[in-house]
Amino acid sequence: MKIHVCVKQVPASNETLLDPVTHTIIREGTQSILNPFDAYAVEEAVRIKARCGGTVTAFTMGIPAAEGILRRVIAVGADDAVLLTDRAFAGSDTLATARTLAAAIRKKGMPDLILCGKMATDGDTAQVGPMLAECLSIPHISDVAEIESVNEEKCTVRKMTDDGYVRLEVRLPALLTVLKEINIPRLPSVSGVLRGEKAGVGRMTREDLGIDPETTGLKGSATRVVSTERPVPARETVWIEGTPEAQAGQLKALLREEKIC
Amino acid sequence: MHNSDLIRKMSTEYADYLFDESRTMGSADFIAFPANEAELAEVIRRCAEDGIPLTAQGALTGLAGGASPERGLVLNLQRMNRILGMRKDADGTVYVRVQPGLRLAQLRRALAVKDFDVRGWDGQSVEVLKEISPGQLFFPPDPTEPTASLGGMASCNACGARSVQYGCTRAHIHALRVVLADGRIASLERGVQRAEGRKIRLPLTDGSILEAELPPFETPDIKDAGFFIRQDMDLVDLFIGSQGTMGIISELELKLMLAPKHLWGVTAFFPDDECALSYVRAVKGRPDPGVPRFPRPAASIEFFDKNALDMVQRQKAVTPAFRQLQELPEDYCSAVYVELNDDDPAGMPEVLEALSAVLRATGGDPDRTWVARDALELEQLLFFRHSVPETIDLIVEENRKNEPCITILSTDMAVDDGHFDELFHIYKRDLEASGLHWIIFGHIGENHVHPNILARNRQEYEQGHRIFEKWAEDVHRMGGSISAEHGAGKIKRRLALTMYGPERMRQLRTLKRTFDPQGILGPGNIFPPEITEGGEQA
Ligand SMILES: Cc1cc2nc3c(=O)[nH]c(=O)nc-3n(C[C@H](O)[C@H](O)[C@H](O)COP(=O)(O)OP(=O)(O)OC[C@H]3O[C@@H](n4cnc5c(N)ncnc54)[C@H](O)[C@@H]3O)c2cc1C
Ligand SMILES: Cc1cc2nc3c(=O)[nH]c(=O)nc-3n(C[C@H](O)[C@H](O)[C@H](O)COP(=O)(O)OP(=O)(O)OC[C@H]3O[C@@H](n4cnc5c(N)ncnc54)[C@H](O)[C@@H]3O)c2cc1C
Repeated sequence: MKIHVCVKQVPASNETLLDPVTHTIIREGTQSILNPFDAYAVEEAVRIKARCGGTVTAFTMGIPAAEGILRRVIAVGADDAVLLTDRAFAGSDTLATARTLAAAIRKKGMPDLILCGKMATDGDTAQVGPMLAECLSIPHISDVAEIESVNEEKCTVRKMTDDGYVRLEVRLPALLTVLKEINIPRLPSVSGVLRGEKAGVGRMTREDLGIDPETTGLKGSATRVVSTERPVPARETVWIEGTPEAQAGQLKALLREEKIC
Repeated sequence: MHNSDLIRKMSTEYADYLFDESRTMGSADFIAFPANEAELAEVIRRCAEDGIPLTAQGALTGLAGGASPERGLVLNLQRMNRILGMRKDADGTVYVRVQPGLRLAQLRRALAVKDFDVRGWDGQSVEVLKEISPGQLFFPPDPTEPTASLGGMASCNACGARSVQYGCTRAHIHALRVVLADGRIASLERGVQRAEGRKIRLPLTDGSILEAELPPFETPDIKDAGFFIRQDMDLVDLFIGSQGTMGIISELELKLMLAPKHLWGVTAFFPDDECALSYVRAVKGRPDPGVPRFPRPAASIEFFDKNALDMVQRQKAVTPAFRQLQELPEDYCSAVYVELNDDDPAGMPEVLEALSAVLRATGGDPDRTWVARDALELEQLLFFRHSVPETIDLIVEENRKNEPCITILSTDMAVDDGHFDELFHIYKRDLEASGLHWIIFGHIGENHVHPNILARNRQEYEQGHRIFEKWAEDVHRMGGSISAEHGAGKIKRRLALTMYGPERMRQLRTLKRTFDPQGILGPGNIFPPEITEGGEQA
């Protein structure tokens, strides 16, 4: 079974930091990590490989430093990894990202299964997985909580919905986006980390993918992030502490004060 | 004493303030939550006038009953939780001034994300803050429980996992303000106010001076959570480790350090305890014959025996939060967690190669390890580490339903490198012979693991205490400390008596009485009743 996993590098904390003195956004000092949801996708791929045999290949589109997360993915059991990096990819929105990933996947040969995280903790759109499936003209199921069974032909999953869970069957090749409840990602072993550090990581540029510069990066994007800002809290939170009786008393006093009751 | 806004009569509303994490149940008549030093001093003055004993409380995470009140007034400092300012000295070291009720987690977060409430700060503090970036500075002591208060940590000289590299809380406290038993205040700075030989002249902020004489002996020269007595000592050290018996800390100035840029953790599994001990010796730089040298000092080294791993494994089935814990490898026995730090991640593969060689030579397996390389991964390993004391807590709570006298029975005795193997084998031999329910885990890097006895009834609880008393004698013979980090508090004051002996204990009491003539501070802490009831003539 051939499995591809798409992973993204994100800032370690999605808390926007404001300097308490200057009140400007602090950008320095934030570490980059593997998008937390993607660790679950990688773990699921490695588990399927352990059951069914095959290979796991990881893809990321990002800056050259994103190679680090690919080495991490190899450390926990992926066989190889490809970094899509090129100035031409900069500024990609979800659509341009999906197109670029689709081109790379076609180039490497269509797998049986593609796994993505539910969403990235920075962009937060949850669009790339489904868009990628559309670009590749394959079916997808989002928000997968469990892969009940899988073979080279089809796969049965439990998907979370607003009202509960549904069980769906899908013909392969297909793409799944996974939730955190699907498994507990393993930490790498010492040997795994060393394997990751020594592994060769493939690189692909726009030219290698043979895609039109008008379809990727900022140029190929339908949307554009104009600015980001932190919402200013309009209200102050008051914490009520103590025993239940004390808390009730305080709450009553506060409600009185606000003339709510 | 009258009921007032500041001092309230004890009522069921405040039942949660009668015990600390050890579950030592106390009793009290009054409770106060001062919001600043002036209120704190006012409460103490009124207690002194009426001769009412008082017990300071930080965050109540202590494991020895130190903050569980023994009658009188509960002095809870949780409202004094502000960061007051910063200062930088000539070598660029940054110091932060905090109130005692500030929790470690609040301080860590403020430093990590540079989120400070600067209202009321002076201009110099704001200037210093301007120059620091998020995560650049850190406060090293790590007593596992991040909700601990800084005042509580200072009062127990808390240590935790990272003291192997950075030392205990004492090493990171530069200055203190302390309210004495009569309400007077001392402001003390390390290197400035010191004893002259054994003579103390403690300057007070009202211009008066308190004179005292240090007892004619030195406390153990090993990690110790109790009193600290040395010739020419810094006077701040009199209050660090004294568990609320000498004065109440109203403000601390903490020395910050540059945070290491990269922190990694490795948990390794071993087929038996002997292999784990051999690995620990190697990562501490004292490899057994045939084991390769490990090139770098670890920032922390933690041990888990099979009983501890089994216990967490069982709890995983019951506690939903524990489901995220990593799966243990098959046939595990003991485990060792090592933390390494570096400013340059490029050196990491080399260090891990060296670690692999040490693992193979000591019976471990580089495949049966967990490595954490970023904050999120590290959190998982620390969560695992924390799950052990958390599970003990849950079990003790359960066992108390059968027998309310049961408390946590955890020891934190420490000896030097040369005696640790002997002590470890004494622990295991005595525990295996006891028929009790027990586990061993903890700070093996500095030779103080925590054997814990999980008593199920009164008879087992008393048997546990007897085993601890025997160990206190063993440790005393080896020149060690009966409490490296939790303090004697109330549960382990008998063991303190074994360590100091009655004569020295009485000398310490005389010193305390110079500071606290009525004996109102921290009743029941450290001094067992036969010493305190010896009266003035002692
Ligand atoms: C604050 C912010 C807001 C943004 N808002 C928008 C917006 O509204 N519309 C828009 O079009 N773009 C937006 N972007 C840009 C967007 O982040 C990028 O297009 C990004 O490449 C993909 O979107 P996402 O982060 O939302 O990922 P999601 O769609 O949430 O990610 C889902 C999954 O797709 C895979 N994946 C995502 N990115 C990659 C990648 N680079 N390489 C490999 N696999 C990947 C991963 O498996 C991931 O778990 C925003 C970016 C930021 C930082
Ligand atoms: C799960 C868990 C794991 C732990 N692991 C460790 C560990 O690895 N290492 C370690 O060192 N400790 C450990 N501890 C215990 C640790 O000792 C405490 O967390 C901490 O040192 C005390 O903080 P606190 O604010 O809770 O103090 P409290 O429990 O409130 O008080 C402790 C003592 O200090 C006195 N005190 C408090 N504030 C003041 C003050 N302002 N002035 C004078 N006296 C005061 C009290 O009277 C009492 O005697 C652990 C605790 C838990 C629950």
